Amino acid sequence: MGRTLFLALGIFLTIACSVTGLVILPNWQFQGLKPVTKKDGVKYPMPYFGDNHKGRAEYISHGCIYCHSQQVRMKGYGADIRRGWGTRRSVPRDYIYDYPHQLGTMRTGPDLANIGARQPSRDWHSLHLYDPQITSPGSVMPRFYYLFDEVKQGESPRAGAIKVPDGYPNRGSVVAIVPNERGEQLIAYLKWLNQSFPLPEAQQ
Amino acid sequence: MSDQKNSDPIQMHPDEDSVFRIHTAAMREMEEPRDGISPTPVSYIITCFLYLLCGGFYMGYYGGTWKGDGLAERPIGGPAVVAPPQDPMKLGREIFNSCMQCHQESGLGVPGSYPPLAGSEYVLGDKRRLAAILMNGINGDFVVKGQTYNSKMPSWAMLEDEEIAAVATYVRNTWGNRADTMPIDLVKSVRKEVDGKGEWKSATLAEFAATAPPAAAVPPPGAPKK
Amino acid sequence: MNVVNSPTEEIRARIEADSSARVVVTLYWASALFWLTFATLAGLISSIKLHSPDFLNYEWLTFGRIRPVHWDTAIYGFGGLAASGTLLWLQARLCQVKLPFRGPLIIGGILYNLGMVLGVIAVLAGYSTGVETLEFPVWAMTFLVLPFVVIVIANFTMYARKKTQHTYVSQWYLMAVTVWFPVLVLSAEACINFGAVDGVAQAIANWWYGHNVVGLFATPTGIAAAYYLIPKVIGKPIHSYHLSLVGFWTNAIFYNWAGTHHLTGGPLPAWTITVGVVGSMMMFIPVITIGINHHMTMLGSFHLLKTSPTLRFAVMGSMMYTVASFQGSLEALRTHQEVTHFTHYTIGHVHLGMYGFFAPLMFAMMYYAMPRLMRQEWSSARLIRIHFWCTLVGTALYGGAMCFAGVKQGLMMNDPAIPFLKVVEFTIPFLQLRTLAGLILLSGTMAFLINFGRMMARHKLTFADPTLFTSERNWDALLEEEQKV
Repeated sequence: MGRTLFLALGIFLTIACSVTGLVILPNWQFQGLKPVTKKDGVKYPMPYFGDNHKGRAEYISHGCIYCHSQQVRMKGYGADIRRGWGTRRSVPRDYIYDYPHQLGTMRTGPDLANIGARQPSRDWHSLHLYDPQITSPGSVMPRFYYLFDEVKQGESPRAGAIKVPDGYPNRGSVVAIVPNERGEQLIAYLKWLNQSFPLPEAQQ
Repeated sequence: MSDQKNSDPIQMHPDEDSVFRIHTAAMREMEEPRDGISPTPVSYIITCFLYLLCGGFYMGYYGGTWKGDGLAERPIGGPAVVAPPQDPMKLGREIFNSCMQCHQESGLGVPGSYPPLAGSEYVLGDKRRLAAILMNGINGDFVVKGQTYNSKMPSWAMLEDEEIAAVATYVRNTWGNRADTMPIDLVKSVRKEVDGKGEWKSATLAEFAATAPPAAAVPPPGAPKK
Repeated sequence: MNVVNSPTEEIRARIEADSSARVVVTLYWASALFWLTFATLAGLISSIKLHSPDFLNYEWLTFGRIRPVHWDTAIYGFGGLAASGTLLWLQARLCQVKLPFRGPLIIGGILYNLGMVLGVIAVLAGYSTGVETLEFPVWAMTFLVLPFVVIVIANFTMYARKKTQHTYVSQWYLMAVTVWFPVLVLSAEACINFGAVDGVAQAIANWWYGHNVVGLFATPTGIAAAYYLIPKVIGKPIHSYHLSLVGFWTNAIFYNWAGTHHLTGGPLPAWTITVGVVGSMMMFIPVITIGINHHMTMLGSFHLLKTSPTLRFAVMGSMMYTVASFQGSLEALRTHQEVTHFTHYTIGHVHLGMYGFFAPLMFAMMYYAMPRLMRQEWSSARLIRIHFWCTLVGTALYGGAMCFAGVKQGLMMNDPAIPFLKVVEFTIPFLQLRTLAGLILLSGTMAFLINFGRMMARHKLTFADPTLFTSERNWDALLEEEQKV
């Protein structure tokens, strides 16, 4: 029985060590991370609120993470910054309000850590989510048509509608699209994603 | 289905022939596995230890500061390396990755939504106006090549002067466009000029382009040409 | 302690163990096969979506939902149930005891399946937690964890009652699984879904879990199966007890620490990544040690691969363990990750590990144990042959296409002069090849399902001799003959 106990305890010890060293210890090291105040008095990072908070739930619910990462690698490691995906590397402070984290490990599509800075246009995001082929021909991203109301030919125009380009081949009778509630929330979240504030620790 | 194979010396329930039949698999199998005692070569053990030492060395060498904010695996030391000036066309091509989302790789834009850059009067025309657009972005109706576009272009002021100049030079010299390079000095002066003016409307941009630039902003006559 | 040593006693113990484990293990394995088919189908749909995005483009089946369903059903549905069945049967056999707590284990199996169904529906409906490999909401996950409590208790009970004096190496691994898995799931759930850690520490916890659920659950079960089946079928002792010992403990110590290499280049302190890189690289020691032990045991018995289905799957698994682990260790290096991180290379590697190493060993286990549990032989050697070749060719094609495409994709992405859409365009032919590989894997699974289904349905049809690759069997003729009798 002594050997059995030794075996079981030894096995338990291996995992206890790794969870302490790899999870609890780093978490403890990050406890001191607080937002910094920018020159204009606004804090960075800020907790998610309102539409961008709900939009984050949409992002998670549609599983965007399986194709898009949200982390910029440092200069000289990969080409993230040279591709224009960010102006600096991502650091732990950027994520203090992320729950659950959406760092991602796949780039079937481009990185989205700074999508709000790179592409602040509601129109672009609407067209791109409605049918990626409009803005990014050849993309393998699915159409998220269910996040939009379609305005058909002859229907009365609606506020906030976005014109579907004339050259769009699958246009049919759709002349314009309007993001529905969930669509607006997702777009609000995407526009919120912005790590361009130069945090000091990102200079490493 | 004969059971001759199973008339082994093993006697489970001698009266019951079917027991053999249903347990053929369990009876024919080899005995439960045992451990062999082949010796482990000493050289193998030594190699393992040396390998472990290498692991320890790597950990010490690339561990960074072992603190929560030690993001670099090696402390950055020595004088900062000044990057040599880059070929504006090459750098511009890289920067253009960000522009492609709307203006497309082909420079043709999305008909009806995003204006083309190929043959565009805004690209090939006044360089000062082009730099001003890149710096502050635009919002509203614009007429490009006779077509009206209503769209929003973000400000690219977060880019370095060199990068803005390079991307402008790139778009002025691709897809059949031919025009001179955008001088970095001009970008620098436009950055100061347009600061705080906000996104351009068609009218405000025209007004800006019509006003004479401050004397210092005029590039010297011998500005490099491509 | 009542020591068994006479061959008759050993056979009696075997038959007792098999009879007692019959219902439970068959239930676990049959459900495992159901989830394997489900996972393969979900994988196939995801794969098609990546080159034809309009395929089945409904909200519930959007790529971001069907893709996690694929992985979760593969790891928890197939992996969890196949491994639990293996664990229970192997432990009963090696301890030479009857399987205890059969009733609770059956209820556990049903609950587990219920949890899987709930989890799948939740993810498809958009209630995913958004944490990779932990997508199932906590309430669905509870159904998966509760049955495991029974499995753990059953395992320790068997171990306590064991009639053999010696503890065979497979038993160490099974023991390890039962200790590791509950700790793993409970800590990860506490850290992430109950919010015990914040920000990027969640990412570390996520990948500590994501890597370990393969490394501390699937891998040890696979190794335990290989350690049992290879010597068992060829009738030779395992090469070296000392190497088993070295392999087991180095594996236990290093695998735990490897997970953070999934975050190389990410917003984390350098030391966390470095520890992950070292943990992964140190995995060469157990992998080579276990490899020597398996392959040296096989040495001289390779001719048996011609006849024995069990051995063929087991050897494929143990060889792919060596290959996939070498690949995995090298993949952790920063220089390697700079290129292949964020690409299809990782996906290729996961499939080489799960479908090249783990799944064949579980198949081998089923091919070996099911005739003993059901007291009848496999009906068709040809279906086994189809299953084997589909598994081998499908995995090789999948791994080859994805790893090659991944490296090239990574190199292209690291060259900012190449537009992103050009990179996407480059991968499409390889993604189509992957769909083909998925179809091949699905065909293999179907062949296995038919064979398995026949065994379950035609309970009375028995053969006197084992089904080997050399056996010629005509199912229909035999059925007729049986009816005449």
